[in-house]
Amino acid sequence: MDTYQDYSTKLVEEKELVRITGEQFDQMVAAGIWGDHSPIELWDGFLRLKNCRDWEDESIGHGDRHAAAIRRFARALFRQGVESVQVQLPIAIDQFSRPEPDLSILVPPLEQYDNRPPTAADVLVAVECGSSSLHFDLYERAPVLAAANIPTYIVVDLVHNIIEMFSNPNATQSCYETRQTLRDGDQLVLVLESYGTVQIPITDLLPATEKPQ
Amino acid sequence: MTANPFVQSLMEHPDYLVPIRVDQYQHMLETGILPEGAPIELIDGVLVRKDRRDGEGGIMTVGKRHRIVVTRLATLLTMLCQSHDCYSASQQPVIISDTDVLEPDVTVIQGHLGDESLEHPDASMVLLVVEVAHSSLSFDRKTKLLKYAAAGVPRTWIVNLVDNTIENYEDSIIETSRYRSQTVMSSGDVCPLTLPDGTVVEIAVDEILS
Repeated sequence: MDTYQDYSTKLVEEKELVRITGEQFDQMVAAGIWGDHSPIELWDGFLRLKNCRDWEDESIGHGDRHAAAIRRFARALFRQGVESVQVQLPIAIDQFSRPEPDLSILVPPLEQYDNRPPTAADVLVAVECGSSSLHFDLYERAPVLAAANIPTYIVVDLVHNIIEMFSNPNATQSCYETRQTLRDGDQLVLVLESYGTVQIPITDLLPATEKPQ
Repeated sequence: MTANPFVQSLMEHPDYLVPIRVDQYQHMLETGILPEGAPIELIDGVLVRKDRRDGEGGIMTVGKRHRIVVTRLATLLTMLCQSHDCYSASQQPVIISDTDVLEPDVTVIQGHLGDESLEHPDASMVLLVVEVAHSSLSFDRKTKLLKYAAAGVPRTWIVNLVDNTIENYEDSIIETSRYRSQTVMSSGDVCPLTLPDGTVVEIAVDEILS
């Protein structure tokens, strides 16, 4: 075996890999197996490190702009009275997957999730803030969320400073049928079960663009 | 097994795959998150199902011949180890690295059966590892052999059920994950094994594979 890549592809072809189930993952998280710092997702039975960096040249960590974008979005939602929100916490979208969207707007009341993670049916909107992870968020995460019928998926694109909103999931095709690009000056319009129509100016969602010195 | 597209994509970004470490794996076994006794190994931090087939059947099939050969080996090795400061075990988990816990079909371990702590032994205590291979032959040779060599296991036997031979690998070179010496024994030959006190014992290929 020359590189890890050769090896891992052969592993996939030749052997039966045992997926970790959502329940096993929940138990491992509850047992504190990884400690608190790394955002680890369960991705079709495998453990995946979530990429929260702002810039490719940083070591794995949490970029300032990424964090700022999450805070802005949470603030904008609370200002509009949308309060059933969770940040970087798992959603149980199928038997082998526990992604952790940067923000998830859930069906209220929040109390029903005290003892179980929200399932796909509980999620109204999933939000990812993407810099280094932008390609993954747009092209690999989107199909998984569409397949789970998550009604709306928003990517806060911190590279181009735009918001991409995906809606009308086609679960059988694993894709969203509608994609809207919103810029500074536009309004993000969400029609949410239990909350009605929510409007947020895009300006409120995009943090400053300078790379810190 | 056709590669699931999501798994494929994960394998394309291997730097983001979080390997399960030995201590985490042991925790999963101790707390029952993973069922004890399941035919699972930890390879490069990923859970992998053991392949004990005789070339056919679904992955969970244990080939009859596989089972017979393992039993013969375990019985013979147990007898040979008596009073020589070592013992033989079957499907014993061995810690091979930070992210590998393998379960060779038969293992010869230094010490006494009563000594074993609840922890799994690591490679430094292992004298011999035996993999009985039919369906898993290619994987055992390409991947497991390298791991055993890299961990410093002094001797590995691969019992080749396809060609009816026993491959004897000895003298591990940790730096290159290779064994210096490789010989193939067939009907009529014997396989040597050096025990902790220096005694050399032999197992006839015909006793195992006839």
